[in-house]
Amino acid sequence: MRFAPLGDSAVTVVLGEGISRELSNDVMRFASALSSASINGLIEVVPSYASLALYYNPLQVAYAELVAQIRAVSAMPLAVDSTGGPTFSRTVRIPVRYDGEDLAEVAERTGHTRDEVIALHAGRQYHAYVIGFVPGFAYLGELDASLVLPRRSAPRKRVPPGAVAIAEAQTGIYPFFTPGGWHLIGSTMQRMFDPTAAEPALLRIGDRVVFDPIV
Amino acid sequence: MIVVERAPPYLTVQDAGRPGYRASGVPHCGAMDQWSFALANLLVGNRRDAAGLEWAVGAGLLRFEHDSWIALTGAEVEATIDDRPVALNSAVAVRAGQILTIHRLNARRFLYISVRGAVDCRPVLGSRSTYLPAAFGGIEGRRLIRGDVVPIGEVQPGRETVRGGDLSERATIVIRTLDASGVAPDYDAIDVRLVAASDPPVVDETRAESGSAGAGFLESFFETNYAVSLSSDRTGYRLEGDGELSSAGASITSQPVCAGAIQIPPNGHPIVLMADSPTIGGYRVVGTVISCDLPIVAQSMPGRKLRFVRVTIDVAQDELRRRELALAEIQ
Repeated sequence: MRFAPLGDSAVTVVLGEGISRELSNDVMRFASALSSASINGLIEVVPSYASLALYYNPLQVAYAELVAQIRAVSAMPLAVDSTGGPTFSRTVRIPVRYDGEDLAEVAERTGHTRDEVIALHAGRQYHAYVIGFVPGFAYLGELDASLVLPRRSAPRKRVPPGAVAIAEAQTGIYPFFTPGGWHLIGSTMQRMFDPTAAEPALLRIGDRVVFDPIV
Repeated sequence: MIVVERAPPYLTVQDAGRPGYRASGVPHCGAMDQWSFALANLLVGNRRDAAGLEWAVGAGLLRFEHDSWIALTGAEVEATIDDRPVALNSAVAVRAGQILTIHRLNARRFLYISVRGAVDCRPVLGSRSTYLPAAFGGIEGRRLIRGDVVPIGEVQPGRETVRGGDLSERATIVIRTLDASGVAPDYDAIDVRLVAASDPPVVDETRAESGSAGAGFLESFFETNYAVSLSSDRTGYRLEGDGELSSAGASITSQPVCAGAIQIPPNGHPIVLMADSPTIGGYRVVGTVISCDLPIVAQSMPGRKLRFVRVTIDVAQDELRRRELALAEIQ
């Protein structure tokens, strides 16, 4: 575990390198333990792929004191279920119409038919690694290896909300009109972010996500 | 309430921010220059975090429907109320029907306008600040336009009336000023303090892979004079250096970031993340501007020179405590 200060009001805790489901599970377990540990001055804990950050009020807790509290939590045993995964995962199903502008191009570039692309994308369970980019945008992995393409060389200026897209080994759903460099393969009516809800993002880190094709 | 008679290109409702939703991808949001924003509120007797207006780029007119107090802080502007010049950094009286005209912004980037009673739009996720990328907060999640009506909250009874003063006087009535000298950010400073991502310093260059930059890179970073680039907005300010472009920029596994964090993308041009920056970032972070100095960066116009100097977290946090005590005393 390595600590990297993120200014005077946040600290990054690095647990490892790269992207893997194991590491992601470690990050989530630790984030959950930190959130429930009633750490003095803590505002929020934000997990990412291999690290997490704690945002705190430095008027209530100094850096050294905070780091000591984090170390104390890391020394405690963490909740693990028999499968080794975190105990709080949910499965979220998202209905998708595979009508994306780039579907034909993705099929051509990956050497599949359109139906094969759909079957490959919808035929597996994804893990929500990180929420970011814009509110409610979840980075879901991993894509079938045969669907992996680099991002588009020219990002679109405006991708519509609900667009289901792929890039590299990940897939995601655009919650708002935003610029976007991923390949659009489908669309969903499912609202990904509702600012009026107590928990505004549909997806949480650690969720299992399944796409249900609408035919 | 206030009616927008003529809107500048940029005018939004902002407050102290929207903490607590980063895990859902919601950035901190809020006023870019939190110091000027807080000062504007204190001047008119509002809570420090109460919602007000953030104004940039051009001229415009606001009409007040009630007697009230207002304060203008942040950018240096030429402003009048019915042809009488308005004192900056002061609480001044406005009467129902009067029009505040902002003629031009002469220095700095963001003007803050507080109104006694504060802007009272509906809070979204605990904040009234406008977050343009996802179009929520403030008034319909957007910039204010001509004809918009901005609701203002009730003021405690007995203190709502502006008394005294002769409206025929040439200047507006100044109700009070505050002495914040000694704790206010030095907006003309070239040197901006940051806490390095590796504190204590990382000497081993191989450890730079995990998102903090190595010692060699840090040295050249601190020796470089930067200028704020034209492509700067509420999500981040891009900087251009006067020296060789560093090769230390890199894409990394995305990590959580915050306002003030300085990313070095592969092209070597640093980006200082600002209030609306995404919650995670995929570029190496060299350090984070200290909270007390972030207003200096926020108020920097394109072309303005900046240099970064390193301080310890203890210095940064002491400075914050000192400023907090001073603000509490002012209040």
